[in-house]
Amino acid sequence: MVINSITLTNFQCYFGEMKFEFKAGLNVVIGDNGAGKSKLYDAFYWVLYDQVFDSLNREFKKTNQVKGNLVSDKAKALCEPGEMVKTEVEMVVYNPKQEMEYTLTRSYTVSKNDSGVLRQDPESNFTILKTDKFKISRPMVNQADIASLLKGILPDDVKPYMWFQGEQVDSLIDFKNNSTLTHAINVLSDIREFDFFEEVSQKAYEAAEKEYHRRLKEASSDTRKNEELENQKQRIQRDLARLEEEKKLAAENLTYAVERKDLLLNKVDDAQQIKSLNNRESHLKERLKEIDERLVKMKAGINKSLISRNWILKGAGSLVDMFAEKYDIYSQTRNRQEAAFSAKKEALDELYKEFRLPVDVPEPIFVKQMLEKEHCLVCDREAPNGSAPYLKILELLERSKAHKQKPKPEPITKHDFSKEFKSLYQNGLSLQGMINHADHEIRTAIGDILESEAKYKEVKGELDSIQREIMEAVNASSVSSIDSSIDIVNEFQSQLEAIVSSEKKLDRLKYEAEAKQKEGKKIDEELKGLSTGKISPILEEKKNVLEDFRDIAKSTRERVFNRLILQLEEEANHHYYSMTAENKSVRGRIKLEKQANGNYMPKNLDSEGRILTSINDSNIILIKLAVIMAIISAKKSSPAADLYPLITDAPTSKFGDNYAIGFCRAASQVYSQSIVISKDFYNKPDLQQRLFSEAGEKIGNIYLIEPSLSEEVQREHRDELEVRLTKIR
Amino acid sequence: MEFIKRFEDRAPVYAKVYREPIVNRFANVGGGKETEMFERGKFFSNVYELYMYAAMLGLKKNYRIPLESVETQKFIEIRDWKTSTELVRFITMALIARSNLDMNELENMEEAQVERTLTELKDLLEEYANGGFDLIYTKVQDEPYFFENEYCFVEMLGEGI
Repeated sequence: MVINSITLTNFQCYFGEMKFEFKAGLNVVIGDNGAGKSKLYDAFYWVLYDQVFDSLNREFKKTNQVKGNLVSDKAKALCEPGEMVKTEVEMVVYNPKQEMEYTLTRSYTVSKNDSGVLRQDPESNFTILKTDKFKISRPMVNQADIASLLKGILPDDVKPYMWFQGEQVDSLIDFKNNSTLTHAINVLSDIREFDFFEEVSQKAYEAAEKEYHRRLKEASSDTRKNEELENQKQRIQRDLARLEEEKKLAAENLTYAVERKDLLLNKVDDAQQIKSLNNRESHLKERLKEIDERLVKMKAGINKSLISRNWILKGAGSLVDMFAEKYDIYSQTRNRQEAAFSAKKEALDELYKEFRLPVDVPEPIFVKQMLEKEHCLVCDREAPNGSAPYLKILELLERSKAHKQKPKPEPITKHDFSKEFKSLYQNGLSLQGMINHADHEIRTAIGDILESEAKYKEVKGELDSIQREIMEAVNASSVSSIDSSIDIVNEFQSQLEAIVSSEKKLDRLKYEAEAKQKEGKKIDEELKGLSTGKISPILEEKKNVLEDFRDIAKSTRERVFNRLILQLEEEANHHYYSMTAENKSVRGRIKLEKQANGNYMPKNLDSEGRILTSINDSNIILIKLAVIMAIISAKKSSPAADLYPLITDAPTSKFGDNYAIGFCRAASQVYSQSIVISKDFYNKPDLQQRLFSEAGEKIGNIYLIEPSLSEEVQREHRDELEVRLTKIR
Repeated sequence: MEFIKRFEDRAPVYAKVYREPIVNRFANVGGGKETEMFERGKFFSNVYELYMYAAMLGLKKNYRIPLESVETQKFIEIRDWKTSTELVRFITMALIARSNLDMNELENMEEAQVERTLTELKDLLEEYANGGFDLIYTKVQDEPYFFENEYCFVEMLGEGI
């Protein structure tokens, strides 16, 4: 099919009737932001699918959801009470094989009642007019015919690859989903036919095998043994089916692990660097915390030392001296007083010291007996009354009486605080050493604190610098944060481990399956041995032939698919190089890499086969576009390339001029008709000239669309909005 | 130890005007760990430690202000200033040194006179502490940022002494 024209009447920002005519080859509609490009894309969509794209909610909405919003604001504003406004999109497509033209028209009406209130139709109206080469037109009414025609213009499964907006390219070929490419290949190639052959051949083989075994059983000489072997075989088949499931699962896991590893590969170096910086940061934070805690303790300790180390006595030495002076006077006086007291006491003592015997020795009662007997009982001698010995004995009695009258000396003072004063003095003296040393202790303690503060500053500086390095590394890398860098490194490691374990598991499962198959064959032989030989050899041959057929179908499908992949890869690179021809930056090479689960993933490799990590967003979009184009162009026999037109809105919005030209050039070569809606060429006459010359004879029609509101004041009023259409080629 | 015991049985006071700006600000009135106390800006574990600091400041500078006709705040008896007995004894010694007390005369005084003298000695302690508080308060007023320094009270020891 070729789209000949599309005519928009009062459709959204298009006021009045605007007709775009297209040719085979490359057609471009150029417009600035807000000029009506997406509304034109909407018009194609609406006429075919009765839907428009709601850019606010990022979803397609049906007519009955948007209703009057489909109609030009200016047309509604100009509509008088009692009148109606019709919005309409008419698309004319041509089928060159049938030489048939189809006019698809979708319309929607609003009207104003006499009070000026807008009444909106609930649904749109859709008609198709079929015009043959003799210009005879007939409306199409049969729903089956209509459905068939619409499918012929653009089948649903092909639609995403032929009609898309720039922002959809990402999801069409999703580098994170390894089945996307396989899905696209399935849709756009005839590979599904091979899937069908494979399925049919498998079923045919299963039926033949079943029949063969049934006959084998019937012809068996030992039915019991036969049954036993059949049971064993069924068990083996169940085991094989289970192993196959396990293999699939392990292959999926392996594919996922490889895919994740490849994705992480370009980030892991950055992540490792960030993780190592992060480790240093953690270490420095720990050190800083330790120093800080030590500082807090030191500072608390320095204040505590005011009392515990008696620092508050710093400079108090003179008070000790003052007290010493006072104490000196006190103690001298005290000494004098004590000396006088001692002298007095000594005199008295002297007075009573002349007696040789202590007082009351011998006791007075014995002394009296001695006087009565006039005999000394101590020395056993005579002591006649009045004699010297008698008087001496009498003196002993007198001395006792005299002693009782010995005067006590007066106390030195009323209170004796001398010991306390002395202890105060001694306490002062003992602290004197500390007082002299306090300055040194304080200086040392403050010095220690200053040293720790300097250390704190130094470590803090190092920490700040590491944190800056981390920020810079995060900004310069593909890693979004420190946390994600740790996750990346950990995940990369775990994916490597998963790859190894999945590969080992696959090997083990393969070995187990082979062993089971051998066991199965052995049972088959045994079963055959039990047969009495009545089975038709044709039946066995049939089973063997169908088994071969199944294997051939399977390997053919695989071979065709692999060849398609190689072809796709070649085509994709052809388009990729063509689109990037003028850009001198590193672009790599597209490689469609087979995954363990059989799917393929596009990769961008350098000349040594390593994944390119430095490509930008534009390159990624180009690779995706190149792969989509490759699927179309690699299969020239497919109806996709020949009959379906490409309609794309802003596919090159992320590109520079060279890539935009490159894309249009490639599109002109790949698609029989393409309609590219773009702002890249707006106000760039030189680029437009390049486009004309690059596309050469493949160039179709080029239009320029611009909003009619030029005056600043008008731009505030949507009621004035309309689109000006200029055909520039 | 009759003289010292009787002196230490006395509970000195300080001018109430210093309670908020100095005592509650710099002394750990509510308890808690020492490091936490320090982080809250408290430099003394107890009120009496701050009191001893103030008294020593006054004694060293021989700067005392009588507490006549000011509202006062009582706190614990000297005997309960447990942190450092040797400091308490030093202060007692310094008070005797700074006072007019004649130690010889004291020993010959009547009991009532001794009591009076001991009370006068306690009053003298209050006056010197009051002088010390005045010095601290003046510093707080004149140089508020000085007390942002974590070892301000250590630094203050070296000033003008």
